[in-house]
Amino acid sequence: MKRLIGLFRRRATSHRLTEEFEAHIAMEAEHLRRSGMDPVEADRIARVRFGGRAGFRAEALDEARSRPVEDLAQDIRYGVRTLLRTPRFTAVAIATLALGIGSATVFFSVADHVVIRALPYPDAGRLVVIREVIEEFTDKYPVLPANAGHFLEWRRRCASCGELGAFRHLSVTMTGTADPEQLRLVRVSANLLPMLGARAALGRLFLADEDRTGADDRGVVLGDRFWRRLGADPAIVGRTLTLDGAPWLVVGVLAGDFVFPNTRALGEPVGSGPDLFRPLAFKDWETTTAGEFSYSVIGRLAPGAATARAESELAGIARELTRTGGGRLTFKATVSRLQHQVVGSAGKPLLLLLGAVAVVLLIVAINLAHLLLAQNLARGREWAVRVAVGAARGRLVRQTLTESLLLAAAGGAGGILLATWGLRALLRAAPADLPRQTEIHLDLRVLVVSLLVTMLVGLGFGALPAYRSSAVDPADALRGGPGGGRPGRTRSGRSLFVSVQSALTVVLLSATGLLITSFVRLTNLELGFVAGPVLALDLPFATGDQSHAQRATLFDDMLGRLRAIPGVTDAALTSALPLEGESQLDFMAREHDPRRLGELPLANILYASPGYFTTTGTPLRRGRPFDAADRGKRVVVLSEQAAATLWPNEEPLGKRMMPGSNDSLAEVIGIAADVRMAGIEQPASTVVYLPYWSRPPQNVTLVIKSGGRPEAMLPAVRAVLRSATPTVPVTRVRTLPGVVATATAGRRFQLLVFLAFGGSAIVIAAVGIYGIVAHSLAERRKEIGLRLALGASPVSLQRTITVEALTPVMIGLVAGLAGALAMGKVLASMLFEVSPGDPVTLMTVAAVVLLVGLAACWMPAHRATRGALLPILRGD
Amino acid sequence: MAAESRLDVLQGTLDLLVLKILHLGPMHGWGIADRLRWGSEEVLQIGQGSLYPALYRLERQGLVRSGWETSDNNRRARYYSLTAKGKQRLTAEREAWQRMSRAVDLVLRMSV
Repeated sequence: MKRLIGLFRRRATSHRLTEEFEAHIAMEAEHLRRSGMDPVEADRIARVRFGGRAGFRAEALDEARSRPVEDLAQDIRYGVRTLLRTPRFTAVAIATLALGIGSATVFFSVADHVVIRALPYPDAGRLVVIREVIEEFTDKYPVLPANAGHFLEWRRRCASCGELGAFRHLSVTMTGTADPEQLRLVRVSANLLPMLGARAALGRLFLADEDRTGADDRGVVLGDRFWRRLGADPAIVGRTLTLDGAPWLVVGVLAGDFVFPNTRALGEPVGSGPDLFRPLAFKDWETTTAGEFSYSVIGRLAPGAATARAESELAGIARELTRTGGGRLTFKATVSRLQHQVVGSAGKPLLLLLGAVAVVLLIVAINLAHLLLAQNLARGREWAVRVAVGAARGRLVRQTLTESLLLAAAGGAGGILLATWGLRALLRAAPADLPRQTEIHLDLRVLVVSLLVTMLVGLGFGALPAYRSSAVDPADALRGGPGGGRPGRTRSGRSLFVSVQSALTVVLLSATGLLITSFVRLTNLELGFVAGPVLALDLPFATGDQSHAQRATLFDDMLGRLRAIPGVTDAALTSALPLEGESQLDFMAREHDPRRLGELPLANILYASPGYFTTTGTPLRRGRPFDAADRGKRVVVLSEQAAATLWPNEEPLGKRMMPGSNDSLAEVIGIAADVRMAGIEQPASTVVYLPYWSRPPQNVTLVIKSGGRPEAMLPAVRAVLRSATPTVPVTRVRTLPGVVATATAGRRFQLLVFLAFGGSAIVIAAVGIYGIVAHSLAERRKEIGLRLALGASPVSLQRTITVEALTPVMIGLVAGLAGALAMGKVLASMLFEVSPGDPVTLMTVAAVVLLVGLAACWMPAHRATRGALLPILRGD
Repeated sequence: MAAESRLDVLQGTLDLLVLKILHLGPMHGWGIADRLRWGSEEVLQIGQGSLYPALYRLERQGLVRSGWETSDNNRRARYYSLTAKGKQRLTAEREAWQRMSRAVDLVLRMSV
């Protein structure tokens, strides 16, 4: 169609040309006739004077055609050629842009998905979480989950609360499949899933009838992920699963896009989400038990109702509950937005980080503007010539902008590539408590934003150079002047920018350096055990299955068979592993300890098998570990700290102590190295090791040592467990190095973020300093040439210039170090065994920044002093 | 606009001269050629027809506009006139030209 119109227009123009040509020739002929020429001859001469009509026709038609696309294509071609002529400049510009845009994209998509975006539920703004407050307990538990009876009261009487739903997390063991498996199940009120916008992909969701108090609730709805794990059977509705030994009917499967609200505030740590759901269907005793607070409550406020109104209405109900409860406990309820609860404390740092990224991007843009200015000054001559021969000003502006947009486009593309990679790396390292992390990915919305940012940055750093280039004075340039158009910003302004940039870089790098030092200290920490090739897995035995003696026999048998696996060098069990949290805290006492129960020291009580110390590489400082010969005797191994706590100045070996407030005395036979139970950054714990046969634990962690890769043992281990403990699921399969890695995951994530930031900052600052120095030297080309011509040696001149350029960097360096020291208080809480003023770290950072600054100043100074003389002598 | 980057001095000069002539008032092609003849015969040495590509270019750039009218001796002719944009361009081009000649002058004097 467009071509057709073009064709018609072309024919019309051609017609017009014919007419104009004929008129012209006629007028010329008439002009000649009037001067007395023979008409035939006049016509001939007129035609000759007019020239070749066909050629002019073609040319004119060509000129008449409008061609924005060709113009743009030509601009781009010219731009690409120009950029390729200066490959170093182009590469540096694209790299810094990619860094800036890439990090902005990564942090924007994280912040967007975690903080900015509404939760993926219908009318998410009205969703709230309701929790209980018991005034008598607020110092220990500021808020509590809801009591079932209270929830029912709320639901019945609170009008402004709108719709209320409740749920509770459980874990169940599924048997009847290849291996018993531990599943995460949620009991939900029938209205909860529809309220959150969940749809059934197969079958149905729960009916109100199934949720009645005391109802027979043997139906389950599967989550999409779990359904796929089971083999994605489309005919699964109507089948049964065996959960905790009882049959459960599958009534439906959730659609894949549903995300269950997953946050610590709602009872569960963030993870991959629940596997399956069953109706809440309160038991009668659950609704009448006054002391149990275990249910998470989500509400959708009535239209137009504010949280405050719901809260005051709930307060009235709570007063009544307090009265009927006998007044011993004072109840209240708090209402908070679900979004706020889910995002939790992650919101503020993420938004701060986003702000920091924006500042970095701004610095990138200003730096590139300087680089481009330096570049254009070098091209002043070419531009001046083009203006002189008639190139329009607008055209030059457009050309500069085209170039900066080309750079921005390339940088943006690189940035998005970098972001896809960076985001994946970041999420892999993300600690488990980063909320909503399963929702994070690069999507259209994020890409559109980063494209807009790219365009904006491109226009931003192109505008100033474009404006300057529009003012080239051709005469000035041709005469051999600077040819740079309007004079640049004052030199002191530029120096200030260099100083500020250097200072910011130093602050950021100091923080990064201190975190690196912290991490190094952390990884070199005396763990008290060896993170060797050891496989660890949990066996949660069901309660009350066997007697102590039965279970001890089972464990003996199991360990014997595990040790018999080829490749396994040692196997043991324990009730808990270091770094995974304090376990079974109880009071311990010496024999004849005069202290009362409340005054006694607390200890972690661990039940372990004899091989535990050798398998985990926990060294015994003195004495011996327990062995099979100790069966039937009361023996105990203490950690160094436990021993020092009980007997500060005496030899504990051979003495007797009471491990736990309800236990009998046991003889101390060994002292083991200290370990940290609560976490890698927590102080060493007080640990008391008891042989497992004295009280075989319910939750057992197996540790299996092998010669090679620990994971390779897993199939053989599973085969043994399948026959030794067929009804017990295997959960939390990990390795000892994995345990350490998990314990350091949060810090590694933090370090990764800072490394990415600090690394970008130093590169960006280097480019910035280089660009600014190159720019001002380009402006001073004539002066430098003159100095050389007057006999200054290039080497000493270069040194002078370098020192001059380095001065603002040094000022920034000192300011940055002062800033880093001032920030020490903020940083201190993030550091581990390193002081915020650590001289080695700060000196290293200073040295790095100084070296980079020196290089960034030296290079342009070198180029300016070596290349300057000749053109000046030529008269350029 | 594309043409401008390829502009050689000659073409740039022709455009400038055409704009200058139209500045005096609307004129048809032959009239423009007739006035050019006085000033610089050599520009049109290659033929009066070479005026038309220039006119069409200026028209596309929005610097001149045209329309059919009847001439003094009752002939149908297409008249060209300067647009506001054309007037601006003329001023700019004239300044550029003056700078250029000043520059050329300076260069010439330097080399002496």
